[in-house]
Amino acid sequence: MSGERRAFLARVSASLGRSGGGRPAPPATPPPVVDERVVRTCGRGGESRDELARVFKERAARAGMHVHEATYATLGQVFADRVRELGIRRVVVGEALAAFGIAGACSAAGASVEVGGADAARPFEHLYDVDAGITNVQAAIAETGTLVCTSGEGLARGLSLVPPVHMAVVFETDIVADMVDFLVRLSGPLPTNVVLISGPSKTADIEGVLITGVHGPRAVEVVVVR
Amino acid sequence: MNVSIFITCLGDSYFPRASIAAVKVLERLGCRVDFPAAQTCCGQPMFNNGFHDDARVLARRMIGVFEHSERVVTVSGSCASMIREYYPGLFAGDEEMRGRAARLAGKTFEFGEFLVRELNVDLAALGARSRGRTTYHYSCHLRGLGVTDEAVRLIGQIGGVEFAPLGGAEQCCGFGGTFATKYPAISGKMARDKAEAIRATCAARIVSSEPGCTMNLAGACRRYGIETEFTSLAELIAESLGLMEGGGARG
Amino acid sequence: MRMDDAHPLDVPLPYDIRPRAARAVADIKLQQFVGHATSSKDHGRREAFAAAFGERAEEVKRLAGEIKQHTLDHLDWYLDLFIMRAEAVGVRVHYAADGAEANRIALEIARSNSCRLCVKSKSMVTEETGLLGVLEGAGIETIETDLGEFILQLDHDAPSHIVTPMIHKDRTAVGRAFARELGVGYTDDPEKLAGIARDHLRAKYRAADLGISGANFLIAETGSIVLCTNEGNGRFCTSAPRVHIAFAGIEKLIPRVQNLGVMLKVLARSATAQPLTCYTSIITGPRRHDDVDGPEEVHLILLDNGRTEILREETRELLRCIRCGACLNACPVYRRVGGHAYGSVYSGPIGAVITPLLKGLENYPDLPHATSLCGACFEACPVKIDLPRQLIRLRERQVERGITTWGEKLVMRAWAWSLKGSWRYAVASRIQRAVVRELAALGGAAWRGGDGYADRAWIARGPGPLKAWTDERDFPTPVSSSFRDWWSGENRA
Repeated sequence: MSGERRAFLARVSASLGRSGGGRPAPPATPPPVVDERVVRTCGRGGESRDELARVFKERAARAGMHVHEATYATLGQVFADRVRELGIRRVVVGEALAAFGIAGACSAAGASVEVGGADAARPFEHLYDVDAGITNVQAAIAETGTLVCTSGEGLARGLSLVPPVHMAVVFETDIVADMVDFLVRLSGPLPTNVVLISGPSKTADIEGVLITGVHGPRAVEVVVVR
Repeated sequence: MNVSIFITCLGDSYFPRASIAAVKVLERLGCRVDFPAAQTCCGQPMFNNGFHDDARVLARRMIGVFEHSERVVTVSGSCASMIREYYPGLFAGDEEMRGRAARLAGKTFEFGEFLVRELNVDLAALGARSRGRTTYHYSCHLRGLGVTDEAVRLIGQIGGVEFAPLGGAEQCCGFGGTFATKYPAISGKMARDKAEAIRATCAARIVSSEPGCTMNLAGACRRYGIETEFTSLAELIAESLGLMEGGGARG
Repeated sequence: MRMDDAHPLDVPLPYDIRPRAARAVADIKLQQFVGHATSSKDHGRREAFAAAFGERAEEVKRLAGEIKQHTLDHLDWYLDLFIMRAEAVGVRVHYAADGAEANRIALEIARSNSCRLCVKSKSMVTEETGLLGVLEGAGIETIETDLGEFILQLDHDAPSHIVTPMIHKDRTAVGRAFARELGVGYTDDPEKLAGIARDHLRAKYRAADLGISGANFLIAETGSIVLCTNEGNGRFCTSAPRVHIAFAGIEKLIPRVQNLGVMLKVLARSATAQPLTCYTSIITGPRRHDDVDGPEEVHLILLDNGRTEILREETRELLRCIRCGACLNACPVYRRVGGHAYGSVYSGPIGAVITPLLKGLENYPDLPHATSLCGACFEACPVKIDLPRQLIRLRERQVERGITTWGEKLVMRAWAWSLKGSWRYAVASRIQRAVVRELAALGGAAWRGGDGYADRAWIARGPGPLKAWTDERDFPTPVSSSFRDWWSGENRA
């Protein structure tokens, strides 16, 4: 242990009424148990997958995201419709979605499409002039209508942040009921970045008026796949 | 049930009708009421201002005065909360006194709370009747007692009363003891806002469970030309049961 | 809308709250902005808790408080664990005993990386250390990117609320600041103003080589930094530039990832009545080999700055605070005086307690007293900090340390003396009744009674100790006959 660190921790120990020196002792009692009966707000009654999907869609919409439904067969079509409707000209598709025909559908709808492709030194640079980023999600939380995106191989955090439109593909099997269910899944080594997204970028700093898209995406399009 | 009435120092000189009414109502409800005359003040002003040695002396006195009482009832929510929330803590390190303080805390009640929780009173069944548009001021110290809508429920049991809820009921009236004289600009603004909320109810009468709030708000209402009459919960109930004359009968 | 010509936090010590409070109370616009914003947030919070948890709301808050309390009770252990895990994932951890040291460390990191442009997300801790001035003084252009903080920076103003920093400003002030500082045409349309800020700040993110953030939570078992924002600026600041520095007070720790759920569930509901903030980032180290993007270096500066003093048993619960601002929104005093009246970075009930502890009770003797002890803050607090009790504790410390004025001491001691015996009380009570009634008569008050009393007078302008009271409202005289008189008159005694 470095001297600085030891001195810093010794001050903390002293305030806790423990004499410093050596490593601090572990707590005699574990942290309070997170009682699910108390904190869980969704999934209290063992909801079916359909019910969870319904709750997720409703809450995501309430958080200000636009929700669309698709099947594996119609996924490309739904994205093509989005591209045309929103007038999207340039789109970057996350590498993890390369196999789902989304890139081809967007391209057929008239957008110029790039899959992945960041410059290691300036990874966001190619995204500033892009209209939309398309990502998958690692999970979705029904309780709050939340998308969970993580960093990792082929998973660019800039895609859900830099372009004015973020489109996310949520497979129904990704949906968990409550935050507590998601956090159980999160045990083990964490990726560098896990972001829970619950709506478009928002601010109410000017007289409490709600404005979307102050820094991040102005719109979040969520496509839920059965 | 034997009840000792704790009238509080403010109530004794400024709002005696509240405690008189409480005595009459409690007797009507079958309680035997006594008034331990050695009582003075719970020590809240000293405690709240940091003079804890003085507060401890007064608390010790109160604990002695009410040691043998079965129940202690007061018309002041804040004095009840002083005893219940803070007395035991004043004697940290003195197990015997702490225990005695806790015993007093356990048997002390605010008047409205006592009627609802301990006596399960139904004023309607007792034929309580009054009239007029009436609102209610929730005093902050009731929070610490866990008292919420007890008084409103009691008012609701009185026939002929038209209840008008007070806007922003959870907001403090700005009394706060010495706060009112130490920071008059802040306190005065809070009192004025509350007075305007009272005006907006168009009530003929406002009920309060706290003499401190009453002193502050009645003064503000007078200053701003608001004619709503102030009464304590105990007086309203005593009048509704025909135990006491209404406004102006005694001073 | 600035209250003083000087910077709002540049106050002479010992700080006297009265002048600013009086000005705030008379400021109609401030009353409207702050009053409206706080009351709608306060109602929103209640509704959000009721909708999510119903009857269980208090239990959830208790659990959130217990998690923080447990961590604080063993803070040395959890800090040690956190440091070990954070370093294992590549975070460089630094230790700052005070604000100046934290700023110095940040500056050294910036210099050794040749950073020239810094984008910064909202962080109360960096407000506390005064980081902005230090970086700018060293020639590193530093941009506050939270919209509210950005506007305050342009206006050389200071935040007046923990969560909604420019609660004291309106849209016209923003329009003027943008026209003056950014060279754009005047507009007061919030949507357009936000658009102007977006374009301006995007150019900064693109060029920035340093990002600075605070931290909402630090997770001991994983070495993670958790950041909650709504605008997305926090994500930009922590992922666009090459270097990320996070500032965190030592109290931000929680033990496990599992505990985070409870804290997140109460934080946004308490702050803005949202179920969750738009973005919750869990950051575990710098960019790894497989990652597509993210900063190459992540530094964490752990700050003490008086916290180990607060960590002592009596005040420890104060470090549970998660800076949600619920106590500010609920506080009837904050609602009237606004944040700048507290003369320090932390305002409202929590500020009234921690400012004297962090910066000296003798420097802020008013703050523990400028409150009616109504308890709305305690009720609102999602981690159940007993703020009224802590305020009273500070008052007790003032008496112990002799910071109380002699006048107050005299009044309180004399008052207490008169209550310590039945005879003293009886005599003092009679004298008091007679004196106040005589004063009223001398002042020409009418014995017009009312409120059930036949012989009450109301004093409209009182002398001496009654002046402050009667500046704002009438004072009632005692009535001629006390409860004791009635009781003995009824021959009950």
